[in-house]
Amino acid sequence: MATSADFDLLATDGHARLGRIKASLNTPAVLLYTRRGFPPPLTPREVKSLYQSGASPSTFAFFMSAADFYDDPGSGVLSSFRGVREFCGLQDQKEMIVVGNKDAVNQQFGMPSSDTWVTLQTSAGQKKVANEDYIKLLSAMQPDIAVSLVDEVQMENSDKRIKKSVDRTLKWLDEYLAERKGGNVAESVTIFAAVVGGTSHRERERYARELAKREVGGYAFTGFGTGESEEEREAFVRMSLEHLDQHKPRMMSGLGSPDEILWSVKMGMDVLESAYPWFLSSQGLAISFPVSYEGIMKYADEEEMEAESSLMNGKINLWDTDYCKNTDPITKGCSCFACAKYSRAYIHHLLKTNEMLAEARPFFSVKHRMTSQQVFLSCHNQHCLLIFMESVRQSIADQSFEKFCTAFRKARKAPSRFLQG
Amino acid sequence: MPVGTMAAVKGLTVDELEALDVPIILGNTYHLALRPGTELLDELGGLHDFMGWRRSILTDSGGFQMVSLLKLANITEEGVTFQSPSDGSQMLLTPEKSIQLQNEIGADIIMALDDVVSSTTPDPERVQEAMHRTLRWIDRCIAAHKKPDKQNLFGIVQGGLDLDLRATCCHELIKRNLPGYAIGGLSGGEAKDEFWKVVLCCTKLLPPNKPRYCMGVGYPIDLVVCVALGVDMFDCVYPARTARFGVALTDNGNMVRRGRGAREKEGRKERKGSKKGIGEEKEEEEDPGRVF
Ligand SMILES: [Zn+2]
Ligand SMILES: [Zn+2]
Repeated sequence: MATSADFDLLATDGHARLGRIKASLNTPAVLLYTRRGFPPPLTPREVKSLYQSGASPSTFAFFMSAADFYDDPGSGVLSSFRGVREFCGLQDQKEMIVVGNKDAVNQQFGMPSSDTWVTLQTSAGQKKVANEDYIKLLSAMQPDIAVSLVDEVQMENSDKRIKKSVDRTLKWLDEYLAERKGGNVAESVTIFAAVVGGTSHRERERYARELAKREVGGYAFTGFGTGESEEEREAFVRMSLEHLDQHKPRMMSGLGSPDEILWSVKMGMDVLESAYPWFLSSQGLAISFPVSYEGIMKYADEEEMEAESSLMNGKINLWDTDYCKNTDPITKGCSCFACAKYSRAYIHHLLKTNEMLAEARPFFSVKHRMTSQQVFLSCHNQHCLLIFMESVRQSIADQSFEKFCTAFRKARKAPSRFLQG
Repeated sequence: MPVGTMAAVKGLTVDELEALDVPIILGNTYHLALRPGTELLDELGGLHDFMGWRRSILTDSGGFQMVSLLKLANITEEGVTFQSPSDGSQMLLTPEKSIQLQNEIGADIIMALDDVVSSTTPDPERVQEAMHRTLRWIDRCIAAHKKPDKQNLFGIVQGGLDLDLRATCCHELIKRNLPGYAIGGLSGGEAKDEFWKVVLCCTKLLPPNKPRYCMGVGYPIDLVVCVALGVDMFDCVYPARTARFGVALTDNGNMVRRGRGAREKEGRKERKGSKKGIGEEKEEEEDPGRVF
């Protein structure tokens, strides 16, 4: 199918797309949540264990927040390295690195901005970040994909505010593209234009038409997950997509749960930012829904069941004292390194004794002690999500994406005892 | 031996420990007895299986934690009396109880309960009493030990800074033909000159074909000197503690985390360990009054 320098569109099923970005990242793909450059609380060794357990570095990438690097180390230190990849010790890792404006978990909306700067939450608190400095930072970071600076609006903002946001975001993009023309952005960096436009049909269309005229490598949808309904969200995405180049990759931010991932893929998104595994791990939760293609498709023709509990569907809570003597792995049949070796009893013990293996890793946890992130849970949940994405890609290749979505909805509602083994 | 207080070495997974070629870790009986509980560990096949660690484990007697952590610990001939941290009731750790807990945990090396007094105790009679009590307790430990074929019970040499008491203790312990011996009661603030003498006194007497474990010694220079004196094993929280304070050990001394200005200027030079821009931490062992 169609090919552009940065994106090969291999197959479609409805609007869902199977593709490959920069000849290395198989899409639809998830971008793993990172904090200061690495998925918390994992180490490179543990990320490598994800490959050994079935995922491959060509099926996921790291999403890094520019705000995490703005204040410390800053572009000065970063430019004495070969970009953020070397700075973070990832020169031997093959995952793609995508850098966007801000942290997916510590999202703050409605922060002050002007024609020249936005407010970002950096490691030294809230800072006014000028586009000029943002571009300088991206140039020093040299990621594989860089998202332009966004003047974000909320769904309730007025048309006047939305227009302003479009004007600013476009101007900032143009400044970035001019830097590229001037030779100040490494060849290897693909620029994704932030896609804005809030609730305004007119502004979304105007902005998308402007974008279509520019040489960008892809589009990054932002501003969702701020209270809009699914129908509204669908309408807004369609408004923008209609006028954008179909042969460029699209990234969606802020929607990372399995249901949101499936929705985004259905809309034609190729890259999805997801903090879901981290979020579950931080609460002592583990994915227990089926993730393999066969495991999910088994439910395609099943009767729809009443959910055992709407809160826990497809997850188990390792804080539960029922697990204190349970020698089973987190989920039977899971091939992740945590399930190969550790019992529910041990993980329950680690949660309970606060002996979090992450706690003594100050690099990750100094400012985020509220999270009981746990290495083994994180490995399991990341692994499960990566296998789940593999299944999503297979369903598109098999032209059965719609059926896959239905099967998955049923599979998640199935009582957890059916899901083990 | 890295210290894995409650079935985990802080900040490291067992895979990382294996990759570092760590042959043995230390577990704290007192903490493990509180959580997850020794009965549970026994039921689930012991601490090795529970934490997924295939190499060796040593557990302490639990006595030291009680004396150091709990205010109201009191030592009698029967054992160590202390207040339960959960309900405040009087509890008693006897030599028999300590061995039972350690049998349930299932470590490869278990430690006898000893009567520990500070090396700087001014009361020579108390030091003498502690040494003799430690010897009486070792016999109770040996008698209570249910798995001598699977778990190696180490006796502990006591006797404070008195070399005659140390020698007596060594001779008595050697008679029991234990699988290994520990030198206890040091690192309590005694002068270095006294410390070395005690270690040497013990290592000269202890049999050369049995491992010797010097308890509570952890600074690099102390390790080197003790090795020279014939010690084989140490428990050491130094790497974990320095890491917690943002200190990296380098060939040029300790590299301390510093303010942002310094790093900004140094950039990647600092990473290579160049002397410039690296704050030299004053080595604490330069203080002659402190061994630990
Ligand atoms: Zn698993
Ligand atoms: Zn090193």
